[in-house]
Amino acid sequence: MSQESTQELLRVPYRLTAHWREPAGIYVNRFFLRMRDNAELWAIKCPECGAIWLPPEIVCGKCKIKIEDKEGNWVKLGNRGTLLIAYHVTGSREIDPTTGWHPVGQVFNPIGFIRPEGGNEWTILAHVLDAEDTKNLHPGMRVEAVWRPREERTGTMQDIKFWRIVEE
Amino acid sequence: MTNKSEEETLIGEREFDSIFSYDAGVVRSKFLTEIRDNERIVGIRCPNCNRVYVPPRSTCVKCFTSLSDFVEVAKTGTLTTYSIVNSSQSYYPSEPPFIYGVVQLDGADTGLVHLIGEVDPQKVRIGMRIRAVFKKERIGSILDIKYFKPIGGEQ
Repeated sequence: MSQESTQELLRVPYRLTAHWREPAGIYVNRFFLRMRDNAELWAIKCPECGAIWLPPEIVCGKCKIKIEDKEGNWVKLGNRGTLLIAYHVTGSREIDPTTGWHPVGQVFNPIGFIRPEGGNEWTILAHVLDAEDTKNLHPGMRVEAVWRPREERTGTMQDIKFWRIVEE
Repeated sequence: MTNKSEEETLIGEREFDSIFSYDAGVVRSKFLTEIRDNERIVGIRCPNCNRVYVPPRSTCVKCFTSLSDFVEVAKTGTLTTYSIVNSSQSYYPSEPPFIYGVVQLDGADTGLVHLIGEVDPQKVRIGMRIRAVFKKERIGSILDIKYFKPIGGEQ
């Protein structure tokens, strides 16, 4: 195979695309509707063990029972919470040298794991933090949700723009 | 909360788009550059069991011998199976209806997946004799072969 060392080696450009539509299911659908219409976070509480799940889950991840869709099982969480841990992705800012592609439009805010007020040890929400706060983040900090105005809210996780550090 | 039927259902629109590239490697680079530069289709022969692989690969799947013996195969061959695509996806290489086929070229022992063109989808059949049609402008892609068409033109 020694004569192959001088041969031209190719790189094959590739692009994978897909487009699809999906509903979120009864519980998360309602969670999104209330984010959109009321700027509120509604979680679900297991009547058996008390674990509070956000986004709401039909089956309790701790004791595996079905959490019924009834008034008493839904819990409204606060607009403020505690930052449990945070990290920041920097690598994907770079241009891919082989394709010249740059991930335009991606969010580069820090990612945080947040426990909103009213949640318990089972309540963890992954969301983006304010880019301004990138260098000042510490576990245990108090953060607050910054909602988009009503006309911009469409019923997705992005109805909350980001969470920012708040002094209390 | 009690009357679910009155509740609006949100539908999420999802997009996936990933642009990347990968190394073709020594063997597949040879295959692609021969198509691009010489309009030749090369396979690779296993010296142990004599099978000829098209597209070429670096290891024999039967006996695991390392392969390096490139051989030219014909631009003609036989359609061994096919599928008519009637749906449309952005990543498909052609508009529907089009035909994906497995082509066993003369001199090869394996099938090459490619497009079958210049044939009415109703008239395509297994065992059909076909010939490679090369594009004029070639860039080192498997799609430098435009498609395989039936020998003798439209059937």
